[in-house]
Amino acid sequence: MTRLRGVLGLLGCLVLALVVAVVAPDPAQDLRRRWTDGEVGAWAASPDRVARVGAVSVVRSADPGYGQPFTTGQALVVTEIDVQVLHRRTQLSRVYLSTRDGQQYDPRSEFVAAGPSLTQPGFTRHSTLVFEVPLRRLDGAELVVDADGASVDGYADAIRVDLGLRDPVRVGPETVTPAESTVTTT
Amino acid sequence: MRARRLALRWAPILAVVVLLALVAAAGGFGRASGVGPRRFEIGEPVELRRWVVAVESVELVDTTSYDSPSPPTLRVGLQVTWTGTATEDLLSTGLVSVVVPGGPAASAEVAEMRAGQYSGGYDPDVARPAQLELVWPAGADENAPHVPAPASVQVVLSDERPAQNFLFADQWAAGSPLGHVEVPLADRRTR
Repeated sequence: MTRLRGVLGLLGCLVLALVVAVVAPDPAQDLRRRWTDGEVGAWAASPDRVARVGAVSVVRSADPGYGQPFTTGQALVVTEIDVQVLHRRTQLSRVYLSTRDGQQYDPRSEFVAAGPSLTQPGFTRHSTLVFEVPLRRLDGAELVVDADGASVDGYADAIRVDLGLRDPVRVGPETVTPAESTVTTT
Repeated sequence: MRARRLALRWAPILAVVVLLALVAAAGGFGRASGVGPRRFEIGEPVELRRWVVAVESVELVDTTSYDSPSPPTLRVGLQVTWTGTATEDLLSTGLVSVVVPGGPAASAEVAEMRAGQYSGGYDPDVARPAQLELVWPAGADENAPHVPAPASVQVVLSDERPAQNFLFADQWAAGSPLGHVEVPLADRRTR
């Protein structure tokens, strides 16, 4: 009787694990977030970091500092951002532009020297991000400074900043040259 | 009694005749239209499940983009649009292969190279060039004997199929060929 109860218990656990595996959202796809909202020019604070988008420009050409300028028939959104890292070091590897219809654009890696990278606590990282985005998707776009990964409780702290882009978005004729990323003590 | 036995004997034959008549009426004995791999034009956007791919050119080279010697290589120029919802780092493997009619096979390994100003990922709904390279003949090195180049090659496009598993929800695998593009081969070898 005791043995039967044990086998049944084990089977119950297996069924429960299977149900959880099938029903639970994939954490790699559906990371749950605690959002902190911000706007251009203002600091937005989450428990681990504080971020501020300093300047936003939309152009068709940017110079990566080597070879020919990067040009597009779409739009290049050039965003300057400062991130104060508070408690633990961060890669700042998940900073992206999110459009109103839910599309996510990573910063162009051709401008990696200007982009965010590993930053230790107590330091502020100044970076410039260049996103290539269809012009029609810029209205209401936000910059998201996401957590590097999920936290223990399954929630991740993330900052989103409304970039202030509204239709019709003006595209500047100039070629922007993003400066290299720098780090200073906070 | 005799009439019933006779009817039973002819019943199967009658059933077959009726069946054949039905098949004929439904067009089952008509000449089938040709079914085979589709053929696409040069530069024609081909819509796959997650990508839109247009084959633009193929050249045969034996130097790298930095002009150092390389094995004979087929360099395929594409125009590609990613239709997913977030930036994708690399072009899916298995979408493009090359067949050299009458010649030795090209390598099955396809390397993705820098294309124009692009060295990074594919942004949603942003058309951009892409460049793939395949060693031809497969296994050749810088000292391989010269092989005559054909006038044209076939760039074969394949689609993907979902291959979700318990570990990854968004997993895809290469599917079967969808069709091909006949592309003139520009022989730019220096040796």
